Amino acid sequence: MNKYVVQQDIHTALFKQPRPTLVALNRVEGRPRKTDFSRALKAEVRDPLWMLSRQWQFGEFGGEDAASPVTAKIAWRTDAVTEVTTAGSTSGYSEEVPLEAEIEALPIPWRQGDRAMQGQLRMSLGRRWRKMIAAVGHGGFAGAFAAQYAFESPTAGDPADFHVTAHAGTWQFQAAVSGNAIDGGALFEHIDRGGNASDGLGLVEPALSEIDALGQVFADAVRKQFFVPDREDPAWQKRNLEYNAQLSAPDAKGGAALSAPQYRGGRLDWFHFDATEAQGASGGSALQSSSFLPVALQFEGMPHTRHWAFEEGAANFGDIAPDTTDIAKLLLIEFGLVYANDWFLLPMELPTGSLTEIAGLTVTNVFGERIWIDRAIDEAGPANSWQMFTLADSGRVDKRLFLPPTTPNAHESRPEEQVHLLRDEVSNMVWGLEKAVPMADGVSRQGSEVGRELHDRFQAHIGPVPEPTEENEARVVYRLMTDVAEHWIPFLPIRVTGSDREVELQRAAMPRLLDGDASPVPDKVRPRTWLLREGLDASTPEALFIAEEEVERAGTQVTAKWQRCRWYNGKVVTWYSRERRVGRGEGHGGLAFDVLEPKT
Amino acid sequence: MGEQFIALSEFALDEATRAEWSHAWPHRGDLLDHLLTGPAGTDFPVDDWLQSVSRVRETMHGFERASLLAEVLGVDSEMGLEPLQLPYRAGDCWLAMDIPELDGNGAPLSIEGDKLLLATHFAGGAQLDPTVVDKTYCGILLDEWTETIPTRSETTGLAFHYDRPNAEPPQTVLLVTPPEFAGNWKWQDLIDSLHDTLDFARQRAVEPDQIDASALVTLLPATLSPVTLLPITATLNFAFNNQIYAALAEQDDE
Repeated sequence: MNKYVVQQDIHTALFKQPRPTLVALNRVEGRPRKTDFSRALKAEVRDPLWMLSRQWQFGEFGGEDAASPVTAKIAWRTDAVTEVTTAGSTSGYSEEVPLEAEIEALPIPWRQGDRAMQGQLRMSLGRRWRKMIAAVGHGGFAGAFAAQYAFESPTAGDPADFHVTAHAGTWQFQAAVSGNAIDGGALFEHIDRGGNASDGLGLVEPALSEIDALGQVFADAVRKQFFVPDREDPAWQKRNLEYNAQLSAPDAKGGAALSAPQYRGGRLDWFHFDATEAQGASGGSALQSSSFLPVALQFEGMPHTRHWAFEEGAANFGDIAPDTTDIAKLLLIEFGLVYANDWFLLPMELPTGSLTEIAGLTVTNVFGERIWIDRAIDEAGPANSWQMFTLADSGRVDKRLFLPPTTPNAHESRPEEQVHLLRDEVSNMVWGLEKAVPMADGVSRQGSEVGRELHDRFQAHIGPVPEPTEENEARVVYRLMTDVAEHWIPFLPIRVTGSDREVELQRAAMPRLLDGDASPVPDKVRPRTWLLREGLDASTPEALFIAEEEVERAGTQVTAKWQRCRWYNGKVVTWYSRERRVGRGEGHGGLAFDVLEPKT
Repeated sequence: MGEQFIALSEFALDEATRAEWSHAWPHRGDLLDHLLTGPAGTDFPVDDWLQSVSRVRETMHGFERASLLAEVLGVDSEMGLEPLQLPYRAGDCWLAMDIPELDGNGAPLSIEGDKLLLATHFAGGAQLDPTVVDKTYCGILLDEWTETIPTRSETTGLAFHYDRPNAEPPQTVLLVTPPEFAGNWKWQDLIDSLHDTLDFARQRAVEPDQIDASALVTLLPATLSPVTLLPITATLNFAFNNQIYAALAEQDDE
């Protein structure tokens, strides 16, 4: 199908020109544009002029009325946190322990009423005391101390000892150690109350004064081992089930204060604190200053300002697919992609436990101009300024950076005590459900098991109940009130004094209903966690009130546990603390009145 | 096999471990010197350590309970713990509690890398003998955890905004030769070279659309070739390609 005429004789064709023809010209025109940008975005490398050409196209040769910064100078002031205040009592703070311990730590709960608790810890301290007196040649007194500070030996049939004898494991421990070991906790309590280690032993000099001196060393060691803050009032608010603490860091203007009004335990960080009005004496440190070279700030996924530069691909802002309503995402992308290259960074090494305020920052550029850099937050207040990551509570501006002296990681024990406060819409009340209950030997057990064992022990104490002999043909049983498991502690809504509408929750008690119980008034079931025993063990028992709003609809869970962490120079800090979390919903304790059930 | 099932296998120590042990074991007592005599001292460091660890670690709580009860019930006088710290360094200090400024040699204490702190209880007077090569041992690992010691200062960052120029250095090295060899450079020549180069760079990006309106459009781009009806001269018909593409497109449609 070749339509061309093959020229056999090129000479004739060229010089005789038997077939004159016109020469047309056609040409190839390159089209550098395409609807698909993928190749253009590859930034392929070509000749040197191309490299320049692309830079020019991307505006990299454009002149601006600006100059590069060369040096900068900064002045700042750092004020240390010097005091911690809780519920009116203040104590000095010098970073001997982490702030968590200073705020959270509660006194070690040695007793419930007159019952000794923490059996294992008591015994461990007793062993330490025995080794201490043995080391100075008074090991012979160990027996006398074991008799003086002995573990209680529970009596099998005595209802007063049922809190031990109802639970096989606890009873075994108590029986094994009573009379054989020194109760170091009792010894510590005695010395802590101002007594002497030798009291009641009838020692004579020189052993007397040696033992007494050693007793003080022992008490100091225990205090060092288990941290308890030197303040009268604990930071824990039993009514609100949370910690409340204020810090004071005096600066030039006065006693700058920070407040953590609703700290629920767990991890403490700067965002738990709000800046409050300055009170008290001023103080504070002198201004510090330093010069530095401004370094461009870099962050993951930050676009490189040069066209011909490789970028880190780990974070890709371009891959974020924001919705039209994701304003925050769009802002982040725009900030990251457009304004990233105008930010500079100065690393500053600051002491922890301090409030730092930048007093001033100037930048000198290549033309020798000095430019004052203002703070992003406007002094005029939040009406016209936007702020994040600041200490201010609503309506105020706070320009300081707070580095709380907290521990990066603390080990926590399993809950020693755990209480779920939950709303029971069926019986229209609030229950304190004791999930974990501390035992006398120093372990904690499940509240339901412990409650059942204790109830069964009381029931067994009454003896077998004879079946009703009188036969009847009734098909239903009427109950005045149903039984509730012993680890459910009731809370009743009562009116707040002086208010017509507000309601608070008061701890109440269920009667211990036993079959065949001869006593006219049944015993009250008492809580077995310190969380719910609050006030019960005082010389004059006090009622416990919990603010109604603190028991959330989802329930409120409060735990108590040991925490241990390492501190500056490796110091070990161990403390007993509480923590509150959101619970797991409502519950029903099974309490009902006037129940008619089918007879079984 | 759940947590209740504990498989205990016998193991022998390799040469490096035996060498490490033979250094570390005889000097284990030195580790505690700073705690026994130092200002933050305590007379029973290992007891204090076990006491605080037992409060938060469940298995250590169990060990403390076992050791206390063993003592009371007369099973064992004391289930003592032997502290060790690996890798071994002469004059090292036990890092499990307060750390001194100076180490056992009087030099400032430096903590290089991670340390393994081992607290071992040897049952029934058993010992590790690093001189015997093939001796096998057996033991239970009760617990393991990591501790970090915080520092008194933290590195923070101050960020500030300063509008710096966005111009960037060119991505090309420009080699300029003087247009006339006068012995030295003329400033204007250099300036002109730079301007020329930038002009060339701009021209490099010229697209056909931009010269459509100019007088040169008949000549540029100069990718011209002659076409004749009859092949009586050298020709190159670019338009022929258009026909091929048209045919291919037709095929694709079918």
